[in-house]
Amino acid sequence: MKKNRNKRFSKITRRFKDASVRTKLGVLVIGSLILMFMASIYMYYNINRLSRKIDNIYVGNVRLNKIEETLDKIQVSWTEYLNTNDHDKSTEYYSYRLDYEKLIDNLNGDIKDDKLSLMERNIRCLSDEYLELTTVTAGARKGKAVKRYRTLYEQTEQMYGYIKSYISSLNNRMFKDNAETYGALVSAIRFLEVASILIFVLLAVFDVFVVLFITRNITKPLHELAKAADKVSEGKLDNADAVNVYAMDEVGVVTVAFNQMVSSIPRYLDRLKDSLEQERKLKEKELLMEASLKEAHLKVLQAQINPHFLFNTLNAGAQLAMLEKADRTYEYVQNVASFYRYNISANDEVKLSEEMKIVDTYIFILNVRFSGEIQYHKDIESEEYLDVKLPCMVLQPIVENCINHGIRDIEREGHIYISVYKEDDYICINIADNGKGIEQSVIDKIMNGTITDAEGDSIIVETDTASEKVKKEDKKGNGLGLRNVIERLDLYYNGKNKFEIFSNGKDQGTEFIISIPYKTMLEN
Amino acid sequence: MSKRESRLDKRKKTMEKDSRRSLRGKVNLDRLFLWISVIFAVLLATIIISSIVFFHTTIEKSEQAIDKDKYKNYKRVYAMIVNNMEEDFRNSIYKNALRYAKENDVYVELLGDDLDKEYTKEDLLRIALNSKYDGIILEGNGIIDNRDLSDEEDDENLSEFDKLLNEAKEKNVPIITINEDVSTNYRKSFVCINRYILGREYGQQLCDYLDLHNRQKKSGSLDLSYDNDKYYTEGTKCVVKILCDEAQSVNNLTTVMSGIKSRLAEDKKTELFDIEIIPVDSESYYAAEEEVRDVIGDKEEDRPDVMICLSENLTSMAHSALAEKVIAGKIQILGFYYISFFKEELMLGNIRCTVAIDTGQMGRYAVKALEEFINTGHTSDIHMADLKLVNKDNLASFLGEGGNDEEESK
Repeated sequence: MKKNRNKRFSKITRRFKDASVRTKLGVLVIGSLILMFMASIYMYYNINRLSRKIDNIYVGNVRLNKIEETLDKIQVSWTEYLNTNDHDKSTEYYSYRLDYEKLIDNLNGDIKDDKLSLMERNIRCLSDEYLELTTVTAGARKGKAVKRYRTLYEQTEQMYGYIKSYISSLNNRMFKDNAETYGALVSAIRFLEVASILIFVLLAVFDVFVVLFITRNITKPLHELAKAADKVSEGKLDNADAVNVYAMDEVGVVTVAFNQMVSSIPRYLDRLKDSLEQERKLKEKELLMEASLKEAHLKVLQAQINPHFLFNTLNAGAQLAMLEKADRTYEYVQNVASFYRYNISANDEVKLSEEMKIVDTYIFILNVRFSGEIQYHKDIESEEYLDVKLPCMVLQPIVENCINHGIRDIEREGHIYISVYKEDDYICINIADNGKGIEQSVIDKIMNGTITDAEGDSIIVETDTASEKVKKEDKKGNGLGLRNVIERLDLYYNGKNKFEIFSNGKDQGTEFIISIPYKTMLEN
Repeated sequence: MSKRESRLDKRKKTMEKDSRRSLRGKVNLDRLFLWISVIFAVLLATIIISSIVFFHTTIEKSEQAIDKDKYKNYKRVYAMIVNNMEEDFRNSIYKNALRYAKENDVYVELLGDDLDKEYTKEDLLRIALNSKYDGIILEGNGIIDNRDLSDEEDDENLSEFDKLLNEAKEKNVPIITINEDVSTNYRKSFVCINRYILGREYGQQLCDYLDLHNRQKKSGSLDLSYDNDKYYTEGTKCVVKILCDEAQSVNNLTTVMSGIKSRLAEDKKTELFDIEIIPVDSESYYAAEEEVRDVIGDKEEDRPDVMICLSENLTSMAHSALAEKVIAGKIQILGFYYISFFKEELMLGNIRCTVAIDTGQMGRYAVKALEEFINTGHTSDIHMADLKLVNKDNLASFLGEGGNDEEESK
């Protein structure tokens, strides 16, 4: 039962808390007005009640005075009537008598355990006797029974005296008795004066405190919200705690929204930071790519000083060979020209087929130079793999490395194998030679990037004779090192590619495998 | 850390501290508001509740004071008319009569007690007859004349009192006389004490006193501070003054005297006493006191030896007069009725003895007689209440006024 009541009470409290601010303020104002109104009504009611009671106290005395007054009038009019026999006096007497009868009719006629009530009863009985005597006396007067008239007259006078005495005594007794009640009621009125002032003062103070308390409760969440908003506006997002929600009024709704906003701002900021970071990384990568490319280009340009001249010269030679009908020369010169053209016009990214073609051209040129010493083999699993994109000038430097450092100085016939196949999600480009092979320590250095270009370029330098010097110059090739190739591949594929070098030891040949993420390539 | 940074850090810490303090302050302020509101609410509720209770009580009291319905109604009312309403003796009779009457659903009103003006017994009787009382308890005038006055052809010869008694008879208002009687033709019953026995008690006290006094005188052990130096003989009689109210009937006095004389005669001491009856007008208390002082006189040789007081007031007056003259004990006072004031005087010997009358019996008999008459049409002609002599020796057995412990116990 109590639990239910508590539940109901808390439900009402909750409902009030959740009410709109307007409703709350309305309830507050109306509540305090009602409180003051009730207090006024209470005081007014009590004062009225007391006034009525005070009036009632002396009602008996007023009534007795009225009786006495009427009795006197009867006595006077009766005496005058007896003396003058005047009809008007008789009428007057009867009129007063009627009034008197009515008045004494209200007096107590019962036998009560109260002296005042018994006195009233006596007045009533004596009055009846008195009125009877007045009539009988008037009759005796009319009947001219002088002796009887005199006796009756005296008796009436006596009775009149008794009644007067009784009325006077009763009046005094009543007044004395009522004085105590009157005193109590007057003191009650005085108490009421003090109590009403006290109640009003207390009520006013209580009202002020209640109003302050409730308005504070209404404005407290607003204040907290404002403070939190101030903090947020200053950018102190880390210190911004969630603002307490006290009730689901307008302020509560705004507070909930504010809390949600404050909690989501750092998330958005983190996301923004991430995206900026990504962008920064992307830019950095691009810059690196650009830098590597520029480095490659620089090397290419350095290498192009001669090739440009040679390219133009070669073009002129090719035209000459064609005029002289020297077809092989023409073909050779054309191939050389194509090789340098590719180098000059190389883009950032090219298809694998283009890279393969430049390798073909390169091998042709070398075979013409070195009388077909290099056996070149290609094994392409599927033509479609040749469409994969990769940074330009990747295969030729590796092939050049295979020739210069692998198969150039071997006694046996040199072979270069290039195969393209798919393994898992990678397109693998395998470039292998049957040359001198590379020591594992060198492979590690190449892979770790700790090898310098010079080191890389003189990996297999064994002699330093004059004839070898020419070879050495050739070995430098176009100057693009393996390291550069690896770095560019890493940048291009975001490290998702693989670059592996295998060698089983001296004269066991070297195998380079470039694994390109096929799926990513396709998506791109 | 640079100076600027350290300054900023310090400022930040101060601000945080201030913020915490202000938050704590707000929390306390909230609680303070709440507590003050609660205290005011409790104060307010207390004042409102106490004022409601106060008003309720005051108004209820005033309503009760005005309300006549709270009083019990009785089936009959009797009027009691007595000579001296201020005497405890009569008041005690009235109170006992009222108590007994109430037990029998009847009310007794002491007529004239509530009136500002003092009326004669005749006036009161007339008021009673005209106020439709069902019966009257009347202290008669003591004139016992067994003539049927209503048979008189001309009532001019009748006294006012008799005329009224006649009227009562005509109106069939039963009258019970108390203490003093009227003609048996008018009253239905008489409630009294046995005055003859009373006289004999006084006579016995006179004999005892005389014997003791003479014996002590002879033996020389007389305490003169409490007695006179006389030796009572036929030549030097013991002077006895009997003080009585003027209103007291000769009949009653004669009866008392008969009792005294009869007792003295038994001891053959009649000649040793000089007894005189002195009526005192008790209408005015001061005049009565003066009269009593005159009886005592200023000279020692004029003083009576014994004063027999036949009313409560006269006993008090005699005692006061002796005390005033500083001769308490020099005159033996034989009093009437026993009130608490007499107790100490009896102990000290300032009053030799008094007579305790069972006023409870008197009041009860009076109402009972009226009830009996109204209910059955007849009642006993006379009802006598008990009386007992009270002196120093038996004082301890008397508790309340009149020596009637009935009143006290009730």
